[in-house]
Amino acid sequence: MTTSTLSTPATAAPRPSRLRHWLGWFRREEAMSFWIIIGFFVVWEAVCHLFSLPVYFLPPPSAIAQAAVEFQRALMINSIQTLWTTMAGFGFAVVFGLILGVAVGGSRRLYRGLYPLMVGFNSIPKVALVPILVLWFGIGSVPAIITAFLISFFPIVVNVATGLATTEPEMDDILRALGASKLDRLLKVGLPGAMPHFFGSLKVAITLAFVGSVVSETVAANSGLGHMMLMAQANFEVPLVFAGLLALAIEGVLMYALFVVIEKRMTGWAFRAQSAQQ
Amino acid sequence: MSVIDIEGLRLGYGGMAPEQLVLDGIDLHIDSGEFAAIVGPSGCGKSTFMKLLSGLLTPQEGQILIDNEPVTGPRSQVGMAFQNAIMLPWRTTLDNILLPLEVAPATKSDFRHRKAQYRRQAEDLLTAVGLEGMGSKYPWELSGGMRQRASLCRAMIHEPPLLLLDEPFGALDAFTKEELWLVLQTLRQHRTFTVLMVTHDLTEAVYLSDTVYVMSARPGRMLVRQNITFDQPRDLDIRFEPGFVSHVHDLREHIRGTRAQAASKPVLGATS
Repeated sequence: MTTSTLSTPATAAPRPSRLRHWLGWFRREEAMSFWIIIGFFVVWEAVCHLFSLPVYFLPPPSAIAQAAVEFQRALMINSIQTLWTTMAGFGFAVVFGLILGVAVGGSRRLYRGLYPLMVGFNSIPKVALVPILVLWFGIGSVPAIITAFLISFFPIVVNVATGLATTEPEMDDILRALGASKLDRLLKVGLPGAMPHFFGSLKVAITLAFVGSVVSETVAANSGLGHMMLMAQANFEVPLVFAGLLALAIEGVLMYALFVVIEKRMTGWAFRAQSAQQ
Repeated sequence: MSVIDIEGLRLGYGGMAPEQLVLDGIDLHIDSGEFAAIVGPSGCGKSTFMKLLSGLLTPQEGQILIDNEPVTGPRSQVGMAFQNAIMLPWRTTLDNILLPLEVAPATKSDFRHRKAQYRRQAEDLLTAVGLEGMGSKYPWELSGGMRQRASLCRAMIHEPPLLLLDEPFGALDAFTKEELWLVLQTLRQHRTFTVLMVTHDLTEAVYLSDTVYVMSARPGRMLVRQNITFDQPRDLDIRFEPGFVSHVHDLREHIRGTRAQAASKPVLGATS
């Protein structure tokens, strides 16, 4: 042991420790999700072979990967189509959700007046709206964008309104006693305080937006992952259907992760304030 | 400095029926530069009284005059601090303290131009309360006592002639509380201002005040006025002198009386 350390040059020493550091990551808590995903696909593959399930019933991940490579062009084009309609609908939902959330959260009268209507709208299954949207706008991207918008709009409104309503009453007293205007109270205290709620709701809203756009694509579109999966199913290309599902899942996870990062960036104080209290 | 004159103040929530009445005929005169404390059983309407003085509520009967002008709405001549030193977690301590200047109509328009001056003012206040150099810290990095000190700075940054304190030290431990009493005394040596404080702590009331008022159980009335004549500033050891102890003892007896009265009230209500 001692002779070997003496004989090896000093520059070689960090190499094994760096490798160990790198391997060490796989044992950390953060690596759990990695192992679980790997395990999920391994079990899936094993189940398919063990029970020799036909590919048209449940294709194993290896067959899905094969289909994904074979149809990579179609998969790519349709993924981008779905991503852009989703993001467009989601973008509208953020803008209108924020505006309506502030209006509803800032005024008790509006809150009481609008709430039942909004709950009613939200209870309508969005798939039932697609035929109407097609009637108005024709088949294509527009119904997908609108469906994504409609489905992701509600959680943003509710969260912004809740965030505004939970302003500390004493803080409000201090500001009102100073003669602060309603706008100032909203801009300096209400809105910044509602931001953790708002960014939290974006994570929910983005995944819902994907549901909306794909539902619409499945019912009435000539592109997008929903449409592609429908076509693949009609052609009995079951592995491609699953490849579409995986592409959707990956897009959803990536967007979710993006909004987690944005949330931490924008409202890091909320996390730090919370951990300081514990 | 500010003179407070209150006459025949009555207020009820929702109406003036006996069970809705919160404040019933309060007369009060507080001199300019005086430190007055209000003590009383819990739920006697002390906090409501504070809201009336800051103009957040208007009484159904009677009037409040501050500097001979009736209080009709919010006025920035008042600084407020509460038991819960709520600060905005996304702002540094210094920016939290500057918030009143940012929103008060009098200073709002030229806030940007005079920000350097205001920052110096805030830093001076921080130094006065023993938080020198802590302005850049975020509220969650401060202890409870430090937050309460910062909240005092916020209440005083716009140099209000009247400071309203609603159980400001109620949530602090005994030693931190003592430190903050001294801080308050120091602040009053820097600049003269009138203080009205609501508290549950009789020792605190006697130690800090020139006058202590005992409020009755709901509906609130001022029952007793006690002058505390020890010289200011006071040493913490004064609390153990016989004169001080007897003040505290007297006040305790009065409050016990009001509590007993409140307990017998439902029976009276049932017979009438």
